Amino acid sequence: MKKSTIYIVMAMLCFFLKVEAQVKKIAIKGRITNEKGLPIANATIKVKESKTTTIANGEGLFELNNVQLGTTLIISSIGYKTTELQNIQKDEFLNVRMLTEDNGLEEVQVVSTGYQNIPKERATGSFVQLENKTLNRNVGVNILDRLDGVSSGLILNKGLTNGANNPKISIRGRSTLFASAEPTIVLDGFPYEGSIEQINPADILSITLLKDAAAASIWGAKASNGVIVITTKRGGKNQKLQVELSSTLTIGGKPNLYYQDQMSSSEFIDLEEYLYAKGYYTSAINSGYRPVSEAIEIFNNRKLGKISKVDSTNSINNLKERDVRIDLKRYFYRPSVYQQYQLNLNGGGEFNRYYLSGGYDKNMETSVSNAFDRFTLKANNTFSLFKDHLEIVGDIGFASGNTYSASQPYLPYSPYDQIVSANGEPLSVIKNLRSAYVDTVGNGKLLDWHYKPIDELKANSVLKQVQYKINLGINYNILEELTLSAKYQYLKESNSNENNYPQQSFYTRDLINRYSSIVGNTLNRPIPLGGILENSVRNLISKILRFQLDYHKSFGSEHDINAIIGFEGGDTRGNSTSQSYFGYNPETLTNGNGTINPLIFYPYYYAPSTSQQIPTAPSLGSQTDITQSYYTNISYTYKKKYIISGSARRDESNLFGVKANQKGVPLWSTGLAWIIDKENFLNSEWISSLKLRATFGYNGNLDKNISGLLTLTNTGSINEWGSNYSRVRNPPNPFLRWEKVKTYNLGLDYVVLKNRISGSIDFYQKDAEDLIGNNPIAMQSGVFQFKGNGASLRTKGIDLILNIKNIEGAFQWSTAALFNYNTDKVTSYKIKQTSNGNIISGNYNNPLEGYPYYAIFSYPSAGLDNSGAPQGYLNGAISKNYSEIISLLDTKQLKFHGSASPKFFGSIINTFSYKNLELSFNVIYKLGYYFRKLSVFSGSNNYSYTSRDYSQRWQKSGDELSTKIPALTYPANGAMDSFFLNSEDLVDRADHIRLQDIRLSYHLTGQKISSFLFKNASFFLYAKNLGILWKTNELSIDPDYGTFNIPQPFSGTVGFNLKF
Amino acid sequence: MKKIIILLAVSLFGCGKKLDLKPNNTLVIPKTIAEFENLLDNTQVMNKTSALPQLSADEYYIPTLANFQSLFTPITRAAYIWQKDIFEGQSQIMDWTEPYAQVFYANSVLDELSKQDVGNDSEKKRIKGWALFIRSYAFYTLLSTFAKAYNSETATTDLGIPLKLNSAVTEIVQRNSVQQSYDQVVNDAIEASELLQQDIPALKRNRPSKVAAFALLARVFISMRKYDQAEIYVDKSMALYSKLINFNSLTIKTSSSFTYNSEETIYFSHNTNSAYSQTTYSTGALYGVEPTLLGLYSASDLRKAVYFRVNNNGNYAVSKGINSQINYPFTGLATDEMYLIKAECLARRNKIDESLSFLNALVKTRMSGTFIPITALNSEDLLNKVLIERRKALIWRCIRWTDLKRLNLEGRKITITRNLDGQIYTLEPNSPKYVLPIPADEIVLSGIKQNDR
Repeated sequence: MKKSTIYIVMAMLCFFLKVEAQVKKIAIKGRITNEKGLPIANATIKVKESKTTTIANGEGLFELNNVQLGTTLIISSIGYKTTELQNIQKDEFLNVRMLTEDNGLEEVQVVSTGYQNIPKERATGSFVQLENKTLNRNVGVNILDRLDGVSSGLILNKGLTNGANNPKISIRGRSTLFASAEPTIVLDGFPYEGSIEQINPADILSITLLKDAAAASIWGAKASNGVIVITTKRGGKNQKLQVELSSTLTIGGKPNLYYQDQMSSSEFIDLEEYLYAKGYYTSAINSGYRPVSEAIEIFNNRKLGKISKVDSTNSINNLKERDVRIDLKRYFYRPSVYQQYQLNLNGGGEFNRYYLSGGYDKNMETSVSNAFDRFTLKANNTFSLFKDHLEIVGDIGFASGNTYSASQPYLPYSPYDQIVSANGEPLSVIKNLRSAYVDTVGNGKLLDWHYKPIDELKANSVLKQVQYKINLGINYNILEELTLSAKYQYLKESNSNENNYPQQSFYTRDLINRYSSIVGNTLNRPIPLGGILENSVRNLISKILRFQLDYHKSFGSEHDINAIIGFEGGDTRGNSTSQSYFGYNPETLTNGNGTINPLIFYPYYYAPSTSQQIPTAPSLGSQTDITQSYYTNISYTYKKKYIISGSARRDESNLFGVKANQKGVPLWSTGLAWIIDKENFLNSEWISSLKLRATFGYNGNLDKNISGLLTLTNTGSINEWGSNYSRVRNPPNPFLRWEKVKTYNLGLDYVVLKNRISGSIDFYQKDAEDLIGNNPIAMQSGVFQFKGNGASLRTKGIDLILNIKNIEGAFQWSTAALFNYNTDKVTSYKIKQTSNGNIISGNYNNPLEGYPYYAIFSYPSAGLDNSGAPQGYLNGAISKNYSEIISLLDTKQLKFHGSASPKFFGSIINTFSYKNLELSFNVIYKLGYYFRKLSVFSGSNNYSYTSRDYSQRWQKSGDELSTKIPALTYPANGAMDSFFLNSEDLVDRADHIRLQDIRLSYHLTGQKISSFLFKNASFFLYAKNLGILWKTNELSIDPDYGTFNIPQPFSGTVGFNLKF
Repeated sequence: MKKIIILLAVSLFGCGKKLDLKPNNTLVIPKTIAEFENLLDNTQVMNKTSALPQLSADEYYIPTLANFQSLFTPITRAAYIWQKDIFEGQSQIMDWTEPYAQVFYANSVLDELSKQDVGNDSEKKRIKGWALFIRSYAFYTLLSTFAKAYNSETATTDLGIPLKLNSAVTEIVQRNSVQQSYDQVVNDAIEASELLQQDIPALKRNRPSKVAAFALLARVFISMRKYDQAEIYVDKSMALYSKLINFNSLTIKTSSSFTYNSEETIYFSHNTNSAYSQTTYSTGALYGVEPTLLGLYSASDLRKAVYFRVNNNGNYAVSKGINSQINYPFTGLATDEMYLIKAECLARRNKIDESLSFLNALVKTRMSGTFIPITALNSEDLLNKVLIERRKALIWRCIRWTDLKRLNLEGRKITITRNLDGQIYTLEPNSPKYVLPIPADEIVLSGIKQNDR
């Protein structure tokens, strides 16, 4: 391998010196615009006589060199009438204005796999191209957020927070159980290992989603969850300097703190009174230091005769009037303000193209402690030498982001916490100790132990992310049809998180006091006075090198071959350190760690029988990810109508503890396409374009966290006897293999009815095999679960894209609709479940054969009995034997609702335009899925005030006819709570339709404003989080947020984009 | 540029061996003594025993129904009144899973060691002995909780526990008989005693020693009512180590008077399940030491002040810590237990004077003021006195439950009761409820037989 590489490199160097004799030819440059003078990005410019093709850039600019005199150019772009420019005789700049066939279409001509650009026409795979305009519709800071509701087959997994291993984004549903479920992100041709927040969306030109095997399997073992290929902007050749300035300002509302149903102060105090009388708080009260609420103190003082009946009633009534959410909203939240600025310079000459940009983002989040800022710089330079035979690309990026937050957020102890006095002074509230205890503890010797939430609001935590990225690439045309390229990427990212707690912060005072002790008159503080600094740093260096040969040749007019072959090696190393500094002085940068003995178990001041160590040692870690891949992709086109393609790849990785031959996996795919509209029999003016595609192949995935051998992890901790210790990380599994996903895809691309209707439809099936599953295993084995290959999952679906031009002319109306259908089923899972209770509650961890991964099961409910107790069914009869209902293992006695992931989803964007004004709105729908509500207010939730549905509970005989919420029980019946939480009464349909956003924009273009300073300008207004239009659940629950999260408040944006 | 490319090419291609790099530097395949030791020193897993015997025994009481009802954890309620089903649909019960996790760790070490030549390497022998000791100790805590007491007449048919003897997690075993189970416990402990180093590591009492292996055998044999065997091993243990602390030398504090390396500790273990804390070690005053038992301590008995905390409602809670720095109940092996085993064995052999000398040697260290030695009229009177001292000395160590099981088998007819505001619950001698149910998830996944209760 080593030898041959050197030969290749040497051969390449020789070609540097080769100068070809050339016939005098012309160079043509030009700009392609629509009727309004707006640039048409990605139009295809084809030289009729030769096979040379180029693609206009984002500004509609193109150039062709070495073209014969008198050539004819054919310019085409979907949605526009194909234009021919004949007999071009000299080097010139052409202004090409294309007539609209259809403005509704947003498909473009070239798709990128990251390894090569393929004209869409010639692709057999399922690609989705998202162009710049689509990506800029949404103004999100994170590029992935901008894909929501505009990308076919892609869904942002909202509301799936409670299961493990849920990716932020899924492309075509799920194809793994426990390995990474995140799609691979490819940035400018390389797998991106950095943080997604470090990519400035303003630098992105377009995104291609690779969905099926033919599209994605070139990425081999990284492909099974789909691939998102991001291409950034570049300068155009022979393009005058263009300066582009864009900015947005987004203002959002405060969150609705009343969204999550909870007990009112009055309801909660009544409940506390009831529980107090029952003795529920006895243990806490007796301990002397454990916290009890203000109301409980009043009840207790009344019982002890410390206060009068009148006083206690008045105090209680006073508490009942309070609502902490009023002050929370006032002091803890603000309207959010997001600002984005980006300036870029781009252009190019004969020999080089350049793109320079700088971006700045500043977000003041709605939570007053939280903020984010980001600064990005990017410079891209492309040199074309030796008459374009040699191209050198250099790209340097820098990004620096800071996330600010308060690391110890305030969670009210009771709904009637009072955080400010009537005159606005911060007040102390109950935190982890009883207020009567805190008032007198230590006779003034200890630090003040009160907790005032208002004083803790300041952001004390900052996450600093800094990234450097360098890309170098060389492409050399060895022969007319053969190009050798070498590419290298170096990425370094450093994330440091610092939590700084000054001495006056509650966190520090609490920790110092907790370990203090007073013997006689002497106060001893193991943790020295001063602040506490918690610092953790994670560094990542990713290096990727790739050699690739591109071959493209046409034989006669009927045969066309396109092939690539390459090698890629990746080396990603991470290391991390974390450390706490006690007694930290930010002025002198000194700390008192040296005074702490980390081996000693220091007793708690308030509970001396409990003691803990104070860890002062840093903890270190490092990860190494080595990959080696060999890949090829070949496609052959016959008569420009029939295309066959194939790709193969072998991935090898530094898997731990497996035999060498199991370290690699070969994956392949093949595809066929038939361009039907080129057949003579289909010579209809109704059909402009029709292409049938069929593909099959394998993608892969791997869970690198497991190993074939017994492995230990050193915990880095010290036990009670001063010994370092380790734990078993995984039991041995000599049969560990890579996961494979077999993918079938059948698709049709169509443009019909004189270009008024266009789009595509894809049918797919993914059979994921050898999936690594969490096999629950008998406890006698000593582990709770065991990971091993053996599961399989089948995912099926349909992706439909439909673009309709409804009205044409001066006033235009177009509709772009996305429809997706996706279901999955666990087809094999060898290990049986333990009980019906486990199937319901642990389903994500314990998939059940024959059901979706996200299956929602419940216990059938027979409603409440006449004492308000929930009733289920046991062996067909109504039963209250909850333990038996839960422990039973019989899926027939469960109700299966469906998946927690939508079966149908998509969006409909309607766009209206009149002259320079454009209005569009996006309606998103998600249908055919379910969610589980949380509703229990008894012992399982420790009678917390945050419980839902308390006011709707059964209270008196007869209520069972009108409510399904059980009566309050005391003492709590754990089995009953568990039954009710998982009963069908708390499962609801999640189907809903939402108005995602509205955008109004105004464009000023080209000639019209040539007398102004800028040559192109657009302004827009954008509104987001507008609410739900329709939903099936009758409650005020937004299924995207469920009962756990608060929905994003409404936000409005103004923005502009100017080009000078 | 050219040079860079060549360098890059060589650097990347030249390193095919990179595929052998560890993906994470904290990953270790255990091979060395230190690596095995690190695994066995994991006190998150090791040195823990089941707490259910404590919840079920008669060393504590819950004064009122209100206190009983306010317990957070249903198991603490269900176990208190000896319900038929105590887990109520809950799974992953620590009383079952923790000992088996210890067995898995021990088996992992034994399996890895079996690939090496242990030979006469004293360090390897020590590690092997340590792992065997852990397995024996874990099996014994499981047997005490989930199986009937050893009865030589029925031991070959009574159901014991699954004896998991290798680290292959997918290999499931069924329940062995009580006879086989105790044989395994005894054999592992005997083999451990041959391999382990002699002395107790004075500052690492989480680790076993020869003394500990003998002490374990003494404890196991006395629970099996094999008093002659028990005496053999208690003698071996005491011959090596028999130090007692004079409680007059302890400082009485609001927290524990001990450290993790109490001089009486032969081998450290405790039960830590925080779900059970309200009736095992919390300061919440919902439970108290059972009044009859409390009444057995005389006014000059220092253990009252050293072991117990007086709650503000007048109850005595065991929440300071015994032979431990913290308040988790100590269940390990200690010298006081050895004195009592020796005294009992002698009493059962009618050796009254010898027995009394061991008994008094122990009790003397627990008393303030002038010590009046215990005397006995006859061997039966002596045995009763030894058993009373056993209750007082070994309180809160989960030993009472196995004592109740074995003493009832020899016809002592000890009935224990609970009173919740007038509602009386009774546990008859030799009741099937002396055997706790096996958690339902284990039953389903391995298909082993459940206990009849």
